[in-house]
Amino acid sequence: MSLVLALIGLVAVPLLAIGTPRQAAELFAAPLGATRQRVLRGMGFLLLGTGFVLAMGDGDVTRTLIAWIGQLSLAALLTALACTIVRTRRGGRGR
Amino acid sequence: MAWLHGWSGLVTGWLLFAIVLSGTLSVFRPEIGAWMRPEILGRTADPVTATDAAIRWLSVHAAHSPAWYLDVASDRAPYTKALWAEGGEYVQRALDPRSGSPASIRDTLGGEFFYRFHFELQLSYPWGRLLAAVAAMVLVLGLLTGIVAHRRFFADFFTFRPGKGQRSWLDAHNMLGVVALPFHLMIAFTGAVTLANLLMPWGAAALYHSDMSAVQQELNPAAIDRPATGHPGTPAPIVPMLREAERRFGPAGLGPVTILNPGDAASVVTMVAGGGGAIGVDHHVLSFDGVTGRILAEHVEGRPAMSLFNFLYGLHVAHFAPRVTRWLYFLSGIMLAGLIGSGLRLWTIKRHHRDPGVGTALVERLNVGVIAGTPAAFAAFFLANRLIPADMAGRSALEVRSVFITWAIVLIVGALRTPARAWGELLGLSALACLGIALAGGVPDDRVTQGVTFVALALAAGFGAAASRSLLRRHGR
Repeated sequence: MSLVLALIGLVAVPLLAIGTPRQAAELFAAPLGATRQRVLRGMGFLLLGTGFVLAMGDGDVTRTLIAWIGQLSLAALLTALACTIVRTRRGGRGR
Repeated sequence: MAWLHGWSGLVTGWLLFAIVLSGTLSVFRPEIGAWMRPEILGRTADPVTATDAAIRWLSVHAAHSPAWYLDVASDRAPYTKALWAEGGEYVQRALDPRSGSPASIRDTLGGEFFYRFHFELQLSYPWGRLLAAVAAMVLVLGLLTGIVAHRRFFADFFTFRPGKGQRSWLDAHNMLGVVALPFHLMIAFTGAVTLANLLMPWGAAALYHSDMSAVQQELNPAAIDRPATGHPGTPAPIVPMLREAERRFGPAGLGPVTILNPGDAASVVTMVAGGGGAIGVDHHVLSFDGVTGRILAEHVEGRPAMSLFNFLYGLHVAHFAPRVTRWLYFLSGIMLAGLIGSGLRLWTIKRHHRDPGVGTALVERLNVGVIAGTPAAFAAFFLANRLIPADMAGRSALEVRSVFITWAIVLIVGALRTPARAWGELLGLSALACLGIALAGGVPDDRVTQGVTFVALALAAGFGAAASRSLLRRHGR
């Protein structure tokens, strides 16, 4: 269960990241439109909701949720660093 | 709100940085204890036989102590940790799981040093705990005011723009605060709750007329505290009591064991259930008559207020946490230390041009000593463990002293050198100290050494990169 939740976090958080206006405008050659941003954010939240439902169905809900919240923090940190790397590279190509 | 956030963070920031860093290391308290006792590293120990051996040794060598306090051996710490009175002072040693003797294991506090420092700050009771309690409250305040002050919370969620001076520090501060915000809030709040009786002692004073033994009795009804009779009593065999406790505690297993009035006719053996995966601590307590072996009292915690407190305390200390969760606690703790460090740095950068007075210069120099130097001071504890001869008398106190001597040196260096120089030099020193830990551990052929080596190398790389960046900037490259 822990691995499944970790994978969900690793997909959901980057979706939320590229669905935010700043990253949608800065990370892509052609900035993502508002509709695409909403879809990406919706998918991210849907995945997070699915993860939450899965965690609630686990035999040890409290411990699973604590671990998952920690995994989401780590996923958010990694995503932020990945966004930084992409932004820096794009900046280096003359933007 | 930003004013309150900035100033409350500045006043307690250095203290909080040390508290958070030591607390983060405490997540791996047993593992650090095992690494610092290479004589028993990689061994396994059965808690019952190890406790039996410890009590046999204590019966001979600490017979006159009014009590023995034991932490039973576990997979993470394959030794019995014992505390007993000797010549008017309490002695803490790790006892060999087979012989029960401390002779074959070097005298060190191990991870216990960081754990105790985290909330006692090496000060006498109650001052260290009081300072830690106030710091925890200020951390809660700082986090809440930070959320309010950080207006672009969601817009900046994944934003870090390096190489832009003050903007980069603000990004780092926001990012480290936001991505692990649930952990930060939880650890600050539960820390404040853990020490709440120091901040609000009036409840016990009003309800129990400051009778602390009555408070303790109410908090823990199964802990029997009876005075020694002065008449000797033949101790009942400990193994059947341990087996009975194991049976009653079930998957929680054995936790701390206390023997009150050992060797006396009024001897009491109290056993507390271990974590066994449950978040709350101290949920099941059992007391035996030390002479007859008969059960005197048993208490399974079910009172809502106590269960809530035990749950919050358990969340803070993370004894429940399996390996992955422990690492997540550790990483989140590093992020909290980074949040505090970046906040302190930001305070001076903001004022460097706007208000370059004595106050800013003082804060800047203290920042260098504390932020860049504290890791070196803590690393000195690990290095001293390998450098001080294993059989040297009083080596445990020397290890602790090495931390504070190093700390004093780095603070003096931070105060005397220009910050531009000192940042690079002290970060470089921290990197070298961490590298030294990795080398001092030797070949990483067991799980504990592998973990310590990995963390030490990762920190050395991080500090090394920061040091070289700082030195290059000073040389205008």
